[in-house]
Amino acid sequence: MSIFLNGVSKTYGGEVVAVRELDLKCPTGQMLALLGPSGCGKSTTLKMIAGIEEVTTGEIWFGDRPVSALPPGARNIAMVFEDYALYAHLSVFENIAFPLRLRHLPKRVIEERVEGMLDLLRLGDIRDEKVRKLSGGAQQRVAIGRALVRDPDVILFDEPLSHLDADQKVQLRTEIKRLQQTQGLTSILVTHDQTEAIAMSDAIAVMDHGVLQQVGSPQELYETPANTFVATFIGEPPMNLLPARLARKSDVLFLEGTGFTLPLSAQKGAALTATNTTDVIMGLRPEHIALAPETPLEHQAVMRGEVFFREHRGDTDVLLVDIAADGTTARVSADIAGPTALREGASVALAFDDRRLSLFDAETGTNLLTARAA
Amino acid sequence: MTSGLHLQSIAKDFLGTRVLHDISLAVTPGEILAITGPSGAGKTTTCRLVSGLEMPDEGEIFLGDTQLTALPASKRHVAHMFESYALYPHLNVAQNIAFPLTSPARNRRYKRADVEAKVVELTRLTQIEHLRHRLPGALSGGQKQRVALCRALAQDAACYLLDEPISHLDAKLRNELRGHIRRRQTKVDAPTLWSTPDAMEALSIGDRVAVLIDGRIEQLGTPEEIYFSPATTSVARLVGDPAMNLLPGAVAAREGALFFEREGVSLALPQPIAKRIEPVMGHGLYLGVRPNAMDIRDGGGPGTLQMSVYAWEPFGKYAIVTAKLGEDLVRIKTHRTERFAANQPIAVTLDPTSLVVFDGTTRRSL
Repeated sequence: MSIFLNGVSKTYGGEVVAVRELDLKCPTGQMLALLGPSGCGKSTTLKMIAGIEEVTTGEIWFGDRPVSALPPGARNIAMVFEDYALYAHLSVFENIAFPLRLRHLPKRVIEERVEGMLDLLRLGDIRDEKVRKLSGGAQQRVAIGRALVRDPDVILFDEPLSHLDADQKVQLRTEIKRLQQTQGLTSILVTHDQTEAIAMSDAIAVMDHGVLQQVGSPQELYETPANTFVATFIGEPPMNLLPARLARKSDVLFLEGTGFTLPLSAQKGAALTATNTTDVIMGLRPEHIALAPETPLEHQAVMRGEVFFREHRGDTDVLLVDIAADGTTARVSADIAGPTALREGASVALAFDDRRLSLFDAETGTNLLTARAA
Repeated sequence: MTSGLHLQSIAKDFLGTRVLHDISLAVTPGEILAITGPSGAGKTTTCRLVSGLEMPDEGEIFLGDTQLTALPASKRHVAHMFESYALYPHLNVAQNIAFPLTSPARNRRYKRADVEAKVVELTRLTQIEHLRHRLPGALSGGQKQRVALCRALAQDAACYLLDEPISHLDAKLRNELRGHIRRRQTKVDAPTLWSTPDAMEALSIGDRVAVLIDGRIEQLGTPEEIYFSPATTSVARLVGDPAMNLLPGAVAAREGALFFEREGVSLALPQPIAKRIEPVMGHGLYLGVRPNAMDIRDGGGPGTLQMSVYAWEPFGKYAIVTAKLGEDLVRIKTHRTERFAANQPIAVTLDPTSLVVFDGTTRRSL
């Protein structure tokens, strides 16, 4: 069952706009994540899809059925909450069976369907345990089983991993992704954690202040963020945003920033012909920076600086490097294969090229390489 | 004359249940010791014992030559940042930060200008300068956490205890603050304890790391030791992004070589590992393989493991493929960018030089 949001807005008291003219689509069998910081409107959007909040203007459709005017109970949705919301005194089996018992289904049907869920979620071994004795991760799997057992058209996940320890987060994230891929669930995920959104969903809608910033596959958001907000929200450690200038010398377009000058390839240059902006923000992902080879390659720029902090991340080192040149300074984070022998205070030369960098308008923050010419 | 913080064979009971067992730690001035472990492991209790909010049932705590356990909390000169922040609700941000410096209980009094300079420096560092006149009630969780952090760092203490100091901040600010705090604390003439449930944070901030599990120190070592040579399977399960894979199996000797064997798998072990395994021949064991020590290869071939894809998580710079090997789930961190569909068969290679072997019974590294 696909989900469509058509110009959906939510206004409180006639003036506070929580969500502004949101257009979104989640195709059947896919998961769409609503991602953003607290207060961005993602939870309000979820509540409108669930029917807990009314839309102020706009329409929500499930397939060819308009649902905006329907009460939650008539929408055939299921929700998974961050705090599980289970019946602590009941067993795993009884928690999952609960929605079916409410519908007075025959005993045999209930057993069959609950057994199916126990298998699917690998809860068979603990079927008779009281849920209050289970780990958070197991409790959340029970909650997912309870949601799925009634065969809803749409599943809504509201920060489902927030309360879990790191290892359980990683495990449950994988389980949800697996269910998503094998069971063809249509679902919406609300999260403030970009890692969770990337790991689990087919598409991500990034929101800020009630406004949709970009919607696309995790890969699109990672490779071509629409603006500086999305750029720093997706990716860990976050993308470097460094002020720079575009300068044309003879036929070549150069990018000049603190401590570096980079000739841009003809391809990048062509993508920028429509812009007359000179002040830009260069977006450079830490993992696209390397230690400079002795002879830099063509289309490679080198920045020299001093290590402010070296963060040991196991297979890589994240270096925060202070670059100072021409009276300006910049702090750049570089994610380098490691562990390296570099420590605080060490001199270091960092290299990057123009293949994977983004350029944003310094004033509007819009991606200059992907924005359509007006 | 000794210097630094010494915990000597500390034990602590709550309602008859032992929550800390035989904790011995030494932290030198200018050193950051990170304590990590799952929730409930005893990290916060350890901090509270040092600051005097709890008394140990066994053992002693020394700071230099001073026996801390003989002093009340107010006389210990320990700056303790609480996980719960514990801000004064009636004081604004600047007043909260300045409070320990202006409190009459302190024997050293600061000049007003010095206090102000500290408040300005620390609020700037933590990016809450613009909030200095706000009351705690008007702050978000992340902002309160930064106020509590400033209040701890503002003090000229003999020892600093930072209990989950940056857990509620966004990734970018966390990364910056780790750098700033590390630089600051390695210059002061006092030891710092930094507690965090995030093992990777512990590895990035600590000169050394203590892994605390169920009230016991499971491993104490440098970040590199913890990451590359986890002492037990419990440590291995905590460390890494994602954590190390642990595959149960057994060792068999054939044709003069040792093999790791389990259903459908027979893997020749490299010499250095084989040597260490010999004493436990016949026992079960766990083979520890880090996710980044494996990759997916087109086609099969000798030395590859046949698995089927369980789930695929594309992170951009790498993807995590979770695959089924028999009944076990294995996580592989790959730089391959193509989509892997659920149930797709894959051949997996692993880097034999980075394997860690654990005794199946004691679960200790061999």
